[in-house]
Order: sequence, then structure tokens, then C-alpha cells
Amino acid sequence: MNKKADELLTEQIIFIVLNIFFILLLLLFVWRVGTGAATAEERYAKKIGLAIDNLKLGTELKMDISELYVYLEKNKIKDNPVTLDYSKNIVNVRVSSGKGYSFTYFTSLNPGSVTINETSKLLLIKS
Amino acid sequence: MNKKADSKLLSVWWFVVLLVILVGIVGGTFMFYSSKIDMRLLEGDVLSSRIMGCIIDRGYISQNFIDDKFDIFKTCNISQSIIDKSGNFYLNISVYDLNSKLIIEKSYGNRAFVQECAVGAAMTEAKNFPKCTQKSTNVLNLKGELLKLNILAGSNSEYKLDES
Repeated sequence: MNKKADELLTEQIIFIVLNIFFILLLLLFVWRVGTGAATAEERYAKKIGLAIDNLKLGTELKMDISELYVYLEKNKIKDNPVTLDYSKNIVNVRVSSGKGYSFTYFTSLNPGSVTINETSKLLLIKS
Repeated sequence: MNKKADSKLLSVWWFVVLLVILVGIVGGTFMFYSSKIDMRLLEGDVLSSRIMGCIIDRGYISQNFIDDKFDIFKTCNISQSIIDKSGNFYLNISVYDLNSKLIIEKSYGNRAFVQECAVGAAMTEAKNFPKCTQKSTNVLNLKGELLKLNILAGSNSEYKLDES
């Protein structure tokens, strides 16, 4: 092969590689955001926080959180999807590899007031 | 222009097109997913309902509240550190008689919300300002006199773990 043909081939290869890299990057980004885990985390954290604040003293509430388990399995996370910091009044929902989404509630809850039934995928809140 | 120069120009142009697509898709995706679920009005509403249910019993206002012997945090099961110290909440409870004379007024939390809520309600651009809800109801005291109870509750709660 002559020198001119060599240069042309290298240019074409670089061009194609960069194009493939760009398309993969874009697909990865859209796939990552499009899984919806981030919005599900925010939605459930706020829903649970508001449910805790709205609950009358001495009552119980069961919330279906099976949607969170779908994301847990999808993202291969083995922790509980919902955790509470009773001293700081923070509810954290995490179903992806990030830090999850945290939301504050203003009700004074006793430790252990919020539990998860993993078999029925229900969140039980006792006020 | 010769063929090689044409090809180079096409490559540059192609990358410009890709860049425009990239900016469009990334920008659109971020705009869609970064819009927050605004719970401030709901939170204020829940807080005022909680207080109302706590200091009113079958239409009668708690005499301890009128006598200023009422621990709102303990009785209503509300965290004092969140309401008073977080700076994200405001609560104002006032009781008037029929002649609109103030009998008792109690305020908790971030008092700047009184002005900020008014600004936030008046200006659509003030998205980060707190949102307040006001509730009024008629109540009776132990003597059977009619009183007016006003509760103003505001919230600007938007907590994210990475901001702590």
C-alpha cells in the first residue's frame, strides 16, 4: 500500500471509532437516565415522608413498594430500598448505585416505627 | 477544493452535527428528569392540619394553649429540631376573639417565611421561595365563647444527601 492510502485508511478508522464511541456514550447516558431509578427514589422518598407526617397518632399505614424492588433487582442492589434516620428525621430511598434520595419529615418517630415486609414488599409505618 | 479537503470539511461538519445532537439530547433529558416534585404546599397543609387536629378537641380549643402552657412539639408529636432549627419550616398560630382582639399568638421556625411566602406567592420567578398555607376556623373556649383560630404553615424543605 502506498503512503497516501495508509493516511486515508487511518483517518477513516479514527473517524469511525470516534463515531461509535460518541453513539455508545449517548446511548449509555440515555439508558442510565431512562431507567427511572432516580425519579422513583425521589417520588418514594417524598411519598413516604408525607405519609409519616400525615399519619395520626396510633395509626398504621401499609404502602406497596414493589416498584422499588423491581429497580433493586434491575440494578443488582441487595440493601433495603428504604432506610430511616430517626434522629435526623430523614427518609432515604436508594435503588441505584448512587446515594439515593433523602427527604425530611417533621414527625417525631420512635426507632423501629417503619419496617419492611420483604416477602409482601410492603412498607409498614406505625405512628 | 480537491477531494481530500472536501472529506476533511465533511468530517468537521459531521462532528458539529453530532455535538448539536449531544447537547440537545443531554439538555432535554436533564431538563426532564431534574424537575423536582414540589411538596412545599402539601407539607405546609399537612403541618397546619396536624396542629389543628392537635389543639382542637370536638370544637373546643385546648385551654392549655390559651393559657400558654402547651408544649406543641410534645403534644402534637412534632420534632422541635426540624421545625425550629432546620430553617425549612415556619408555623404561626394565632387566636382572636369576636372583636378581632388577639388573645394569643405563637410562632415557631424560620420567621423570615412571613415575607418570603408573600414574595413567592406574588412572583412566579421566585421558585426557591417557601410556600405557605393558611387555615382559619371558628372554635369555642371552655366558657363557650366563639374564637377564631388562624394557622399559617410554611415549608421550604428540599433535602438532598449530597448537600449535607
